[in-house]
Amino acid sequence: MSTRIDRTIDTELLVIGGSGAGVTAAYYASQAGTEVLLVSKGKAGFSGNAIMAGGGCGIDGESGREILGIESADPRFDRNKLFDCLVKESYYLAEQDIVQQYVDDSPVVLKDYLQWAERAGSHFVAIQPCGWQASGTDFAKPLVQALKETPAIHTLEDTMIVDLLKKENRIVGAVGIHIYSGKIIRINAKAVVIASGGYQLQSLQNTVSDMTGDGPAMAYRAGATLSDMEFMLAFPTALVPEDMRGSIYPYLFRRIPHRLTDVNGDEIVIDDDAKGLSAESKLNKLVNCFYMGNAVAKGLGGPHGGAFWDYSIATDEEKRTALDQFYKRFSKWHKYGYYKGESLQRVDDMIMNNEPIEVGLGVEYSMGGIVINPDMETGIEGLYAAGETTTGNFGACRIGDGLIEMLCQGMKAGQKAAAYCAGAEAERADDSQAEKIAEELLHFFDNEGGMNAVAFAESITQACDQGLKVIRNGADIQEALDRILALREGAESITLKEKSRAYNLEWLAAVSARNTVLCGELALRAALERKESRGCHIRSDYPTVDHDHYLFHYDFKKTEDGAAMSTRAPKVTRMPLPTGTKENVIKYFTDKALNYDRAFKINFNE
Amino acid sequence: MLVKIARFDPDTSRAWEQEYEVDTTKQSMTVMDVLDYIAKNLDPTLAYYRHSICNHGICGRCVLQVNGKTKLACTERADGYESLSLAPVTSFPVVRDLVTYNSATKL
Ligand SMILES: Cc1cc2nc3c(=O)[nH]c(=O)nc-3n(C[C@H](O)[C@H](O)[C@H](O)COP(=O)(O)OP(=O)(O)OC[C@H]3O[C@@H](n4cnc5c(N)ncnc54)[C@H](O)[C@@H]3O)c2cc1C
Ligand code: FES
Repeated sequence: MSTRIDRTIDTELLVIGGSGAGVTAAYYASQAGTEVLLVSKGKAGFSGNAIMAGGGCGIDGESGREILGIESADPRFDRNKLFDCLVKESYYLAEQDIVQQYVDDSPVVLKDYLQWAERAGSHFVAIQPCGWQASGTDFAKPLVQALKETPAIHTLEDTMIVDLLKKENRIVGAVGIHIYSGKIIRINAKAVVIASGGYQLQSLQNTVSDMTGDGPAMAYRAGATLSDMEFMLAFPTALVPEDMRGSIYPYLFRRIPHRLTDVNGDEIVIDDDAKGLSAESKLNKLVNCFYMGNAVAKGLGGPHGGAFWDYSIATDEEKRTALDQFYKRFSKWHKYGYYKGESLQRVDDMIMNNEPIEVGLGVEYSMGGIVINPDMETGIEGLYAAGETTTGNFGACRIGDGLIEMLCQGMKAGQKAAAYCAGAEAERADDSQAEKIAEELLHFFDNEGGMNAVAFAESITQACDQGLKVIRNGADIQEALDRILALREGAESITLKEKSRAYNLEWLAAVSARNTVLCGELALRAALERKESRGCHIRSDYPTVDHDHYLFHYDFKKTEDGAAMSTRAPKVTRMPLPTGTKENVIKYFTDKALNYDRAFKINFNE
Repeated sequence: MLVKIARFDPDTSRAWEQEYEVDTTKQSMTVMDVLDYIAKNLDPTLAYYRHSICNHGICGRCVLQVNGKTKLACTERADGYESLSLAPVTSFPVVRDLVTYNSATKL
């Protein structure tokens, strides 16, 4: 029989994604004796958003002392406190049993991770109460090390998994494209872990370019539930100099005294209580979204769509000292005067010359994704998910750490999937199913007269820019949704000019488009229905946090008539859900009754 | 600005040089921005390293030759040049256009 599949690989466990969640899943499954194939769109161990990390991560101080033996850890910020903070930061939308897994398992996986880090030569700086600051590169090196030390894990790089294979109701493999050659690869496995990271739908990108929502989309097509898709966390991201667009230098320079101004040079006044929240705490991102975003929403944004950071309130000496301290501190990881591969000289000049710098808000993390339980099971037999591709851990707003989540969920998924594989028979999906997926991939080469793939991707981005702004409103969300639904109709007829399969960017854009269209549609539908504000979903037409009517998730499941939406209350194990309303997302935190306290000053000058 | 790109089609082994005209005066651009502009506005068939990229000089995968020198497309500013001549690096086999096979995976 002629086949469209160019290569078939058999394994026990297929792990999709080569960053923190994928590598830890592969590692712990392999340790349990399972044969593992890790397939990654990027470099195995060195890709995904882990390499982009700019801050750091941490756990509670009690566990740091007791489990990791870290003397400097501050046990006053204990396990209960961390749990309490995470649930409140999520606006009570987190699944409390998943938060518990995060709190309990992160010190366990860190034991191994810190050893890989040491052997890899990563440079970590201790922060309070019990955390680590490093560059993204240094956070990823331990993952490369773990793979190096575990040769039993097979890897397949530069391969994009496209869809899952099923035998009856069980997941038994997947089909993907090897990007360099354009070959179609079929993988047969007893179980699959999706660890492919988040989705990033907007044009201002501080993430890697992988974030086309492949994981949530393929899980959805296989019958899994997606949820919380409307929540995405943005933070200060460069707009200028234009060639540095997407850099996170503004976020890193946030401690240099500045005031926010609008396009007219008028101050964007941050209320005193909100200032208190922002000063040193991890809520700085939310405060910036609220105040910068509102100014832009009122039409007071600059030519690039951002607000301005005006450093003229500090003296030259203060600025010089702060900048030099920053360079010195970061020279552990980056060339002096650089952040990542980019020189900061022009930014330094602008700051010293009191030139207001236009700053945008770029989405860094997606809270929504695949619904899981604390065992990383998706409800579909044989399908597990871990890391940013999942949902439930951070609810409406992530203040906890994506890096910690990827490690502790990856470990759990690897262990659970390995136990499942040990007791499961190998089954193969019908060949016709794999052929159908391959045909859906290859049909793009035969299309004629449809939209160009690159332009199509651009149109999705533009619609998401309109509807999924940091400060949203019903009219824009509706218009964006209409645009997305119209685009969806054309997705299958996208036409490619280049007919060669090898490294064909048009083809990859066409294949990714149905994933971004789906994530966009679901995010917009949920955003439209959620007529309140909560965490990172802030609506100018509904600013109130409304616990009485909206303290639930919007879930989506595939049906013959498209994505069916339903609501689901968050799982409560320890902290009862609140009632009532709060004036806006900032007042939610400044309300004394919340009794929120993550007050740990980070000492950056040691 | 005149941008000359070394192109290669693996299916036919044809190699040729193609010229594009890109306005780099409206905003400051990196070589990656120039390539993105061409792909979006002039020629979607162009292959350059774009999957799984960081765009800020971290991953090192966007390496290519700019006017004969090895550079990262995402951090190399186009402003400093009068014209650009882009070619793949010579250390790995060429897959297509500016993309070379730089991976542990053998298929
Ligand atoms: C700019 C920035 C700064 C950040 N800073 C911090 C920080 O300081 N602290 C912190 O805790 N968190 C931070 N985060 C968040 C954190 O980096 C992520 O939450 C974390 O990396 C997620 O890990 P992951 O393994 O789930 O996914 P990722 O690290 O995103 O990795 C996804 C992997 O899946 C692969 N992949 C994607 N699609 C496919 C497919 N179809 N087939 C095969 N493979 C696929 C990718 O190539 C990659 O290997 C930051 C994020 C950004 C963008
Ligand atoms: S894209 Fe990563 S270094 Fe250029």
